Amino acid sequence: MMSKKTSQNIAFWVFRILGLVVVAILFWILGFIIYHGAGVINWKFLTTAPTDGMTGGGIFPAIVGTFCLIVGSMVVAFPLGVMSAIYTTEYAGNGKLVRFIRIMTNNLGSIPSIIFGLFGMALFVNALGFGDSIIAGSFTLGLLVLPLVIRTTEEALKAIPDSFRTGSLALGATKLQTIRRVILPMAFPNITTGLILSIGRVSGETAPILFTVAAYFLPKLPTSIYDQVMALPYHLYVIATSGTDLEATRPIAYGTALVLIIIVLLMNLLASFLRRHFGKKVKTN
Amino acid sequence: MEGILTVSGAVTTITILLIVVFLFREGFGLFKSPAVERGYLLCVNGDNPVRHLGPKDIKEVFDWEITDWSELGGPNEEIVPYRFEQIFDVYSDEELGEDYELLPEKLGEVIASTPGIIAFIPEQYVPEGMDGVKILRSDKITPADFFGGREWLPTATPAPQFGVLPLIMGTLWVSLFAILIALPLGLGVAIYLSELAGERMRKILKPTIELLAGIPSVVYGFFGLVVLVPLIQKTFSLPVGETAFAGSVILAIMALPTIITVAEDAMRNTPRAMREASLALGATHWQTIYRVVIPYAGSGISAAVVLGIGRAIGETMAVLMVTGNAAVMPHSLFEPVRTIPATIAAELGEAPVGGAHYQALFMLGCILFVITMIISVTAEAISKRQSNKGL
Amino acid sequence: MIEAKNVNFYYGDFHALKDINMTMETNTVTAFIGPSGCGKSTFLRLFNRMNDLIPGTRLEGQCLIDGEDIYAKSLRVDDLRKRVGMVFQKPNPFPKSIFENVAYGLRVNGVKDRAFIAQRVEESLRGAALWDEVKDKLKKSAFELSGGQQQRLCIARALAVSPSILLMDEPASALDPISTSKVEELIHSLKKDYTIVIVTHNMQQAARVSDKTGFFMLGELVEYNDTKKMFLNPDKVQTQNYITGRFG
Repeated sequence: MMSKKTSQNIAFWVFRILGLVVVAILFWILGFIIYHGAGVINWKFLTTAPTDGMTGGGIFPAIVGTFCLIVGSMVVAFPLGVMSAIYTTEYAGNGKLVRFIRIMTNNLGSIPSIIFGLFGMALFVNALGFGDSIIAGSFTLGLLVLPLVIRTTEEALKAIPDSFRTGSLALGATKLQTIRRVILPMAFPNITTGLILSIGRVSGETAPILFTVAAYFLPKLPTSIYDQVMALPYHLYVIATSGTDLEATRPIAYGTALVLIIIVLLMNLLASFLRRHFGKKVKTN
Repeated sequence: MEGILTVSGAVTTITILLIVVFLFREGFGLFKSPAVERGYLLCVNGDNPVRHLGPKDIKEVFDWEITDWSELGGPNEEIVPYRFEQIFDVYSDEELGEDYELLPEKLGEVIASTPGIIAFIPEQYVPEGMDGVKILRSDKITPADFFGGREWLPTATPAPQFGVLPLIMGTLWVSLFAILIALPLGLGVAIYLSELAGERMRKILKPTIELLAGIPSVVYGFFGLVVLVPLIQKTFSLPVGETAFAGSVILAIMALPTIITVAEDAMRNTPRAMREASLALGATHWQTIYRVVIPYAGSGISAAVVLGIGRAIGETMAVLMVTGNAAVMPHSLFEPVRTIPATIAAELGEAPVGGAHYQALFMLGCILFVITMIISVTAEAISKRQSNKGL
Repeated sequence: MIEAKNVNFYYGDFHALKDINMTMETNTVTAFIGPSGCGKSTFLRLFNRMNDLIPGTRLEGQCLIDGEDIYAKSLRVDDLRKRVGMVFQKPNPFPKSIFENVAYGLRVNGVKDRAFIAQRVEESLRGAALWDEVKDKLKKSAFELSGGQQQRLCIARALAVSPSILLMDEPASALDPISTSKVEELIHSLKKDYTIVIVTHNMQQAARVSDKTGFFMLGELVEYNDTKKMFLNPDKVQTQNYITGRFG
């Protein structure tokens, strides 16, 4: 029989190697995109429209489109999400209702993004008659990230010690005044991290915008919220799978993928920086 | 102001309700759609006793797979499938009149004179009320056709086929194999991170792995397309690299961060007292891990698996890009398959709004919705069991 | 026989044990008393090398069991821990059945013989005075037992691997008075087979169960004496003050 020390050694080496393999795979993906994309990205790539049947030029309209969708979806999700979180943490108490709302929020968060695409098409594009447009896409994406905004806001609000609430109420402030003047300003930095993480998520989602806003090729920039736009993730999908000349578009695809990764990385880093920086501040107060 | 807050508290519930309403309203419209392509009717000879046909029968008749009326409960008579365009082989445009006003009459003559005929005719040219012509009552597409059908041919004429089985099988194959790959790897890494890695290593690896969960699926799909697909094709010398296996590998990579993070948290939550008790009895570190830590973290680990499956089943873009999207019943991992989300993404743009195809895609959405709801409720129940333990 | 020779112990910069020399005889009960944070638990945990698990700690001096240096490179920690059983402050049964809790130590040490395991489980549960209470529900979860029963289960679990030494880190502090007296009776009856070292903050308990007592303060062993002498007529004035409740 194998001694238990030997079996421990074998097991631990297996795990070390597994850890190494998985980490290597993940870094391989990152490294691969960075390696191939880094040479493509320059000022011109970021600021010109695609040319020559999308085998040349840059990705400027897609960047503008994604920016529009970020702004639009945040206008939808941020106020709604923050208010919803204020209601559940500050008003609704701890009963069945809150538990129900929380389960619903979790469920909404677990619905696959393609379903949001279907839903957005049925409601915003067809039933409400927005057509394929920034506004339809923004609503769809906004609902998609709503659970994320709500969850981060709830955490931010719960992190504020109750002494601040009682302190304010004891001075004769109403509940609403307490929330607006004391709680929200203190929780604000942490609420912002939710906003930033949502931006990261929105900028990479493809399935929800396929049928609600995304345009295959549209070098003209949008002039109103009822216009279609190009968007980075959809653009990557298009030029990776159905371009006119797949080999010629590869570099553009690498560049687009890298831009997407950079946006996501930046947003995550920013969020964790904010969390660490202001997390300390709230505690020492 | 407080009223607005109360209403916004319900916003997620309202959204889910709206999703359910819109998804199911469009989806269930499918079962009100006729089996025959919209705008067309089927006619048979007036003496034919057959009164109605289902979508599968119609398709097989026109594919020459069913060749005798006796197979459909009719007389012993060979079936003659007839598409209305065939009339143009016999009559010239002049003979049919300027606006084809004589077309119904001529079609009627053909039908009346051919006992075994089944004719596929646009509604406006149907020879209504003519002797010897019977219009087949149009069957609706039934749930049995949809859920039991083995063929997904949404643009076939005269009867599009909306059999969802190949898509469900494709989804299950791809996701289950993804979990089979991801689970041992993910658990191994979780054990490494929570038990073996030094504090400094952990501090670097954990956020990196969490970060990888945030990379858009279209980027993973792109990576799969340019690296994995050619690699799989070469390694296994296949005709195409876009296979269920490619989808499983990409999904496994995408599910890894979720599985690792959740499982690692569960293992680190094992109380120190339990580890010490095990070590104090002479167990080695490894024995402590697999006899105490892993069983204790069991429900957390199950929750990780369930969440991973949920993510895999609903994932669209990456799978769409690497699985080849052939809507056939999968026979092996190394064939192209198509999943439910990929079908929706690939076809919704081309399906006419309100048509049977459009409704069928919403019905697919309903299936997906129900599956993910079940998964999400299961994961919730499992993690609740976890938090009740150890009291 | 357990010996400590010139033992110094550090948590990082903190000097937790200062130059301790002590000998504990076979088949006796030795109690460690002292105010919390005095190092008595740390000292106890040296003898099954439980402190190894805490990063940043350092040991100087020698710990010997029957003349063997238990910190020697050639010694295997899991073998040592099999010889030196430990009972913790809070009952910490595994989330397994009662039977499997007791059988655990045998299983991890490679015992496969079912009949032998069943026999040892019964003997250990009898040894821990728990057999009559649980013999009909061995398959039930250990969490269904009361706190006092759980602690005796943990003692049975430690006995199952046939250690020669039992270390007890405040084994009764989380228990009600009745459970406490049962555990104390148990300690008394175990003395004939085991060398027992018990840490307690309860001086009456030390007086009731132990043959010799060590008084620790601020990382030093202030006094080590026969329990009777210690409580009636201690040599050191600090001991006198502590025992009569002037501080701590």
